[in-house]
Amino acid sequence: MEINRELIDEIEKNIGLVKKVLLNKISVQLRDAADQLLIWGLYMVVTPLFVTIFNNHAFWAYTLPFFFVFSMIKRRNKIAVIIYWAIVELIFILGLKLEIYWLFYAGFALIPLAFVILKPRRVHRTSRIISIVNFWILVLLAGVLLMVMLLLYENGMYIPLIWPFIITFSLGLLGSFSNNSLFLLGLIGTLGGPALFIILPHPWKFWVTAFYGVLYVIYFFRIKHIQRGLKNEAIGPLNT
Amino acid sequence: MKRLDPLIHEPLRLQIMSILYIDEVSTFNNFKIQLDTTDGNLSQHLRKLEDAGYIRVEKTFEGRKPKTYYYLTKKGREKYLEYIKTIEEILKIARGERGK
Repeated sequence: MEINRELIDEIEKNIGLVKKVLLNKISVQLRDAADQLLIWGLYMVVTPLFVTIFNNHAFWAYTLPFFFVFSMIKRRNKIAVIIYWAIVELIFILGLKLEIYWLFYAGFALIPLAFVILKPRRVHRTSRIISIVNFWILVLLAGVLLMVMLLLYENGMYIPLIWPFIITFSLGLLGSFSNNSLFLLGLIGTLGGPALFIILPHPWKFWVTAFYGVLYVIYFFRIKHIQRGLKNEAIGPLNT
Repeated sequence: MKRLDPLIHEPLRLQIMSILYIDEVSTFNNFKIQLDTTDGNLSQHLRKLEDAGYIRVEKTFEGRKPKTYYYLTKKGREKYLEYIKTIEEILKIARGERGK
């Protein structure tokens, strides 16, 4: 095969196209990850408000399905997600009204089960690149299980201490430690949370999660910015 | 050095193959969104890849809606990797010649 300038130009153009496909894919994954950060950031900011108003740690659980529905709504069958959310909320409220707390905690079990029942669309499920979001949700689920344990043993005030691990794991999974600003935010989150937990007086300890909530929302904007940069690189009609 | 596979060398088909190499499966709409092309053009290129046995088509129903899924076959995956390897070799030779 003759290697000439024309062939090299064609190949370089084709490499550019493959790069664009990859950038496009990464950009979509980052967008999904950023959305998750925003939703769970808001969860961590809003829930301490309810806990303070009603003086009940159980609100960490009550608000969970509501945010969970948002985290799944883009990826799964919307009607199924809403039905699921209504059932879990009903179980939670019934558990509280009848003071059957085991029923309330059983509601948690429905969250991981929902992943099995509300299967993602086939295109997502068989994705070759393991989705960042799927990793993130697994880490989050580990956090939820720890929360259940702490609530069961009436140690709800230790819930905020779960989040430094989640934040470190999730940022590691996002591969964002290579980005200076995200690394700095991760460091602040990992060290700042437990420090605040020690410093704050007892009734205020759970407000540490609000600190993480704010950090997550900052991550959201930072990742959105990175994603926009990638999108601009990959944008435009990819075919020639 | 092997010849470049003309079936993959065409820009739109190369992108189709790249998407399927990354995602393993895609729908017609997914391709349309990512490649910003017309239905007719896309169908034509998908058909060529299917005829060559590089991709496999699966038609199914989701609820009442018909859905068409495209998969990369084993042969398609091998040919795609072979193509990438060949262009790497060509570029290496070309750079070597430029360096002389």
